[in-house]
Amino acid sequence: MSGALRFGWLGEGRRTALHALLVHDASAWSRDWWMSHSAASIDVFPLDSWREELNPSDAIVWSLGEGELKIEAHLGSAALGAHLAGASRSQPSALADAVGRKAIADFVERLAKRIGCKAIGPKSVDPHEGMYQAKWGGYMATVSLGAHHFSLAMDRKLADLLVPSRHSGLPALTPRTQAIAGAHVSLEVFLPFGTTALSNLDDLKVGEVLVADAPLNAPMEVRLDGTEIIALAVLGQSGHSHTVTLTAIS
Amino acid sequence: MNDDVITVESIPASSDAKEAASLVKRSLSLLGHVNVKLDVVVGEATVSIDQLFALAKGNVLTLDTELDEPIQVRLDGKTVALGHLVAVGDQFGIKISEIL
Repeated sequence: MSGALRFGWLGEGRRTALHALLVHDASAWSRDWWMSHSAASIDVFPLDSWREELNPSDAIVWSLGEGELKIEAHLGSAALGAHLAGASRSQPSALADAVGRKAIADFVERLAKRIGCKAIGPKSVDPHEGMYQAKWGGYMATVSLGAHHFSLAMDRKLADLLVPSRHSGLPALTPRTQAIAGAHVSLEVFLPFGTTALSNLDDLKVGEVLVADAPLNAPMEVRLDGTEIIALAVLGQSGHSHTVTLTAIS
Repeated sequence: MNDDVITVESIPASSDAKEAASLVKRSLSLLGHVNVKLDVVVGEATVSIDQLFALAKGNVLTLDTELDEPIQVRLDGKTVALGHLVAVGDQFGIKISEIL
């Protein structure tokens, strides 16, 4: 299972938008939490597969609306807390652990705020549950803070909430009358020419004149799509174009 | 079954067409007196359904054809010739400019 799972099925446009969103939130979060904050040291690397878990019990899961987010600090929350506070990594303490957990909770809360809900968690994670599960296939990334980093994975529901699909909503309906009113039809203007013998047509040559049955004052037929006569009209001209003036209409 | 070889003589398509054309020509000579209805399309105007229902007596529609542009002569909905509208005494006439 682990090797087969792919994470690329969120459209590229939405992955890019999600990446930009995480970069923005990680930078703002880092400014508030990391003593040695440096914008140049913050980065978010999208992942196509989850890195090997060093300590699965360090992973924590949060519910954000209908979606779920899983976060795992690289060397545990105590090491993260120590890194943020600028303390030596070799001295993780209960205080550093509390800082690390609180900082992660704040990061999650920032994401929750984006979708207008409160983050619920952290929830305990089944130690047998690895990251290689379909539900974590929405988006995976590593948030880098200089020498330290933490990884996150979200399910498709959370990805959809953070970066909604443009096509997720129902298409806007146009009233039928409005749609029909704007539709175009073709009106063809016919001269009721009359009939002629087939032999006349057979012998017809360029330059010859076919005389119509219709007198010069005969009304033209205005036909809808070339079939039904909907109006009668007289022929005229305006500038270089033919015109017709309606004399009767159905 | 395998021994039964059927030879099909191929007839060139062009000879078919020529035969058909001569057949129609022969029939036309027989049907020369038959009258057919001709339509002359002076031009076309495109309107919206809204405009269509608002049309009233006296309204003017500008057609898509220019005065010196040839107009279509149709037989059974198919354009068979192009020509120009002329007056022949008190009647309309079409001076043929193109025909097949």
